Amino acid sequence: MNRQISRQGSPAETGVPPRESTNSESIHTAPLSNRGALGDGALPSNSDHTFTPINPLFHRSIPPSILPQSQIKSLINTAEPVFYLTMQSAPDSTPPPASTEFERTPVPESHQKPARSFWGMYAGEHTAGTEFVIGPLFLAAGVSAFDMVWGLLLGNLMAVLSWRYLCAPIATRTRVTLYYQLEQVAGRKFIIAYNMANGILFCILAGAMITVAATAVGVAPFVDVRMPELTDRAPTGIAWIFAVLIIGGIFSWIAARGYDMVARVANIAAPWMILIFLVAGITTLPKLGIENLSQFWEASQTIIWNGIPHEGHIKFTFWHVFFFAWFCNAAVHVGLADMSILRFARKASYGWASAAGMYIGHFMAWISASMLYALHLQQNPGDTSVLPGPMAFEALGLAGLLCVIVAGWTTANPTIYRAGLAFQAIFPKRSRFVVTLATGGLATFAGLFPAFAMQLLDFVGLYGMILAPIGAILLVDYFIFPKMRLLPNYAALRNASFNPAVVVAWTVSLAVGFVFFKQGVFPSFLTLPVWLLCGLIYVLYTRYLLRK
Amino acid sequence: MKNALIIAALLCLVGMLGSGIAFAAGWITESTLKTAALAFTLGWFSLRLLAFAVGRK
Repeated sequence: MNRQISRQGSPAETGVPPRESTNSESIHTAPLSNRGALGDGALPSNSDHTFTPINPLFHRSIPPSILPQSQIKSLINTAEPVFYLTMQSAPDSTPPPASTEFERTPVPESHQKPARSFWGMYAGEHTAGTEFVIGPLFLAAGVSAFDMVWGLLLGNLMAVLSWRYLCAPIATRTRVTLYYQLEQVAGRKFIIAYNMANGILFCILAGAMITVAATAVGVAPFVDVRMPELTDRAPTGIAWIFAVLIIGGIFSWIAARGYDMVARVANIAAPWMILIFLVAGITTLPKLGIENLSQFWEASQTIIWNGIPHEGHIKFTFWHVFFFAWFCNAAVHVGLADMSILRFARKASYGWASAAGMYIGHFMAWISASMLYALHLQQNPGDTSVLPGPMAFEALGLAGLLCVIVAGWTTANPTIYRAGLAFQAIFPKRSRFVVTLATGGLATFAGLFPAFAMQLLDFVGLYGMILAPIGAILLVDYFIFPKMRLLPNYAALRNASFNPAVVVAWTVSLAVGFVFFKQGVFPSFLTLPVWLLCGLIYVLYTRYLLRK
Repeated sequence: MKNALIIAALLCLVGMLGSGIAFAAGWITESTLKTAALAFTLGWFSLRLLAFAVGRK
């Protein structure tokens, strides 16, 4: 997890509750309509700024309604500068406290980052411990070589396009985090629900990463741990429980201590981890009987991806791989969570940098991990368990084993940290240390159950399906509402704590998605329909509300 | 000094990639590969941490 640009800008990640803040920065920079929570005119004593109602869009006396197109355009065209103007409203006064995270303000030009920062960050972030599991799970689902390669190539291309043409444009125009934008549209009470969903899903994801790291213990000659198999759901024994508790405990303690050290080690480890994945894949070639690269394509169809699913698995087609590759990160591209990062980009074209993450982490690393698993199956025909630790050890010895632990650590830790901050935003009076430690405990508990790691494809699909629709709401609100003569930022305009249209759109579209999921539909197939449905319901319900 | 350490660390990565290719080509044995991978790993981390320490001074 290469974190050259911190994600800490989001309230969920910084622990700054959206409307609880009373520091002068949020007073100075929040839209005018938001200041009601602080008491009308009740400015902090250190404030010597003068406020002027620069933009009527944020003035609470104007109700959201259907307005003439020309008026909407004039309001929208002045919507963005309002933040800057309020920040600069009293040039001679003392500047607000410096914050390089810009939790509740747009990122100024002076803090925008060059393109190379994004290429490095995406490459590191998407080469994680879970890649060791996802590649083998494709193989266990009987994917063919053609479907694997082309599904990944095209699915990842769609993911990159989603970053470039959906996430990056709104991020570089608003220059605020998803959480701040969502607060303007959906209200602060909705943020609590979103943070709760985020926190729980992050915990489960971190649990899967702890499970991956715990498989490294199985290599130790002096410990007899029964490793989980693909079909295992519950803990496999006392030794497994101890292994997970120790590893999860260490991860949680480090996460609770703070983010800096982990971020630093992750930055250093990222290029090395990428190389380990690549070299591990290369070294499996002679062991699998592939003598030269010209044989690779032919041999891969029979030796690696032979198209035969393991017992109890549905067979994956091109479409399974394509949609999984596209939507495994749905929460961050079409779901707009990466607004937190791309708001630092100078241009929307920096969204292309996501290609580094997709084609290194979600193409090369998944293929390498698949090849490691194919070798494992060739050497142990009856053993279908997906064990990253032993597989990496077989390929590269202690260096491979170290990679599994470091990859698990550097990805589980920020995930626990972010989940902790999401929960802390809900319970702002608790200390971050205690909340993060408790969150780590939850993640460790989830890690005891191999079901989450062994069903990672389904879980990641569900994760995207649940969070991505929020992105549809924000995109519709920002880009489509003005064209329909509807005012965006409903909650900010009305000073409302929640927007009923957002609640209805999210819950109804998710309910429909879960009905199909219960009937056995692969979750990644549902993300796009649920995302579109959510956007559509949001438009229709908002129009209905306004007319009513 | 810092740049020299980073370049040396990058050479460790090149060395690791080279040892993987050498193994695939049959030029070195599996135990040599694993020893080399570990050595290059330790080299990478120690040089990068050293570069970090030098950069902070």
